[in-house]
Amino acid sequence: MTLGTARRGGWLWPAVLVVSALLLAVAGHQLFAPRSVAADVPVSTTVEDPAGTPSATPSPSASSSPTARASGPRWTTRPAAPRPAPEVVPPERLVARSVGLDLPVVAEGVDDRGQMALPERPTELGWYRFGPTPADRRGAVVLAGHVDSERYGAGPLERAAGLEKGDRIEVRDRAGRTTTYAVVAVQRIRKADFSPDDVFSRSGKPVLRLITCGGPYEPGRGGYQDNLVVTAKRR
Amino acid sequence: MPTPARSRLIRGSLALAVTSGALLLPATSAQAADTATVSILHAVPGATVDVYANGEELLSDFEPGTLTDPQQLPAGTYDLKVVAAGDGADGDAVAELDDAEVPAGANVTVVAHLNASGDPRLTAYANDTSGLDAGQARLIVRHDAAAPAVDVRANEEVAFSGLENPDEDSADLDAGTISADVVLAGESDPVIGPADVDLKEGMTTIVYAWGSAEDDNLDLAVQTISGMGGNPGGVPGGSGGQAAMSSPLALGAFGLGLVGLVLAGTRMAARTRTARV
Repeated sequence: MTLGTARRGGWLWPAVLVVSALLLAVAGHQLFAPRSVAADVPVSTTVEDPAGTPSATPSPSASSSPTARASGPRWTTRPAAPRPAPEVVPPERLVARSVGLDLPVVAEGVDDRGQMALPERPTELGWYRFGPTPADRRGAVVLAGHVDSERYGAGPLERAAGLEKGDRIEVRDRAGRTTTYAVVAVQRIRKADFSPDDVFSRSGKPVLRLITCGGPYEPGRGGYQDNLVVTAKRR
Repeated sequence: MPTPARSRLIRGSLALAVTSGALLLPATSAQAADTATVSILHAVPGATVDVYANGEELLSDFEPGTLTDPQQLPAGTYDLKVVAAGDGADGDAVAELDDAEVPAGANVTVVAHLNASGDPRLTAYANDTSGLDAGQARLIVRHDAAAPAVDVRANEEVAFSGLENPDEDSADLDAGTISADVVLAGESDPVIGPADVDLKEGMTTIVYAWGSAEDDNLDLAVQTISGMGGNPGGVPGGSGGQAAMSSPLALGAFGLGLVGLVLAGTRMAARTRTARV
């Protein structure tokens, strides 16, 4: 009996020692290693454009002729009365099952620093309301959210880094219509390389861009140094 | 027989056209470098007309209240003449504008309209197509009606006051739909509208007041020009750093590991000492 206790005591503390050391190593790495989100995602300098360079289609329109004389072009006319704004159907929800993301989407514009405005909570996505909707045939539907917030802590968007080529992303709009996308690229783009006109593209093939922050977190240099940009094309 | 006020305006418009043309040049393609974008608005009530440029027919059977789509025309100087439909190049001019300067790269709208006293006129306006910030829209208002000075209101608040024929005014605003109306300067009963006007982001929306107060046919016409939009400078996707920090859990685990290590270390040291004794 005493032998048993002694024996148990014999392996108990070395075991505690080993487990503790392991905990210390793992947690210590988490705490003191350079802080980073989506560190496994390779860094790119240009955002993926699945459309590529569109093949030049010859345009037979009269306006393409620089030598058109005043009498050359065919003038088309239209009534100039004010027309009502076309109805816009905004996206309301994004679902990416492969990484367990199911987030509400709200319409957002531009903040006072000229950046895209985002919902305060990292559990919501903002849709750039001046850009295309999922129903539009051209351009990038931009959905973006905070990966974390001082007030609400870490959010689920960290998991977007786990998306892989071919993964499905579904976006449902206010009319109840679901548009399905397939991931074509998961990229980390340095904020210095961020090219607004490519990311928020209004033309080209219809794509979805899911954006959050990633890369090293450096509080002295404005926080996250990169954007995580997931580009998905319409299926 | 232009009045002094009118010739001053035309010179003003041309000066504007030159300025905006110069601004546009660096951004436009080689093709655009020697052409200009021209639209024509017919805002003379009741007259179907033909329009001639340098003696050649530009367009025919042009109805009041209609606007042409923009056309690329060679830059240069144009003598513009509006005649009653079918009257031909030598017909009596309803309105004329000689030596209208259309600079390369400029975006110009030529408007056939009534002056304040009800006579048909041609006015060439240079359209401001300079870039807009993300989320912004440009609103230009033009008084082309046979009416005294007016205020143009947005959502029942005066946005542009004391506008006289054929002057224009403009502002860059947050994109969105406004309810626009026109009141006689200083008054509050709309003489035109209200009408919903969609100010689309990245576009210039030009609202024309036209027609005649006396004939009770005042109305609004709208022209839009796209392609001025900007995009947000970035996406500030995180503020706290918590996602990078991986939570209080790591801190707790670190503490637990530290405590365990110390505890196990002292116990094992103690046991070794006991065994030795």
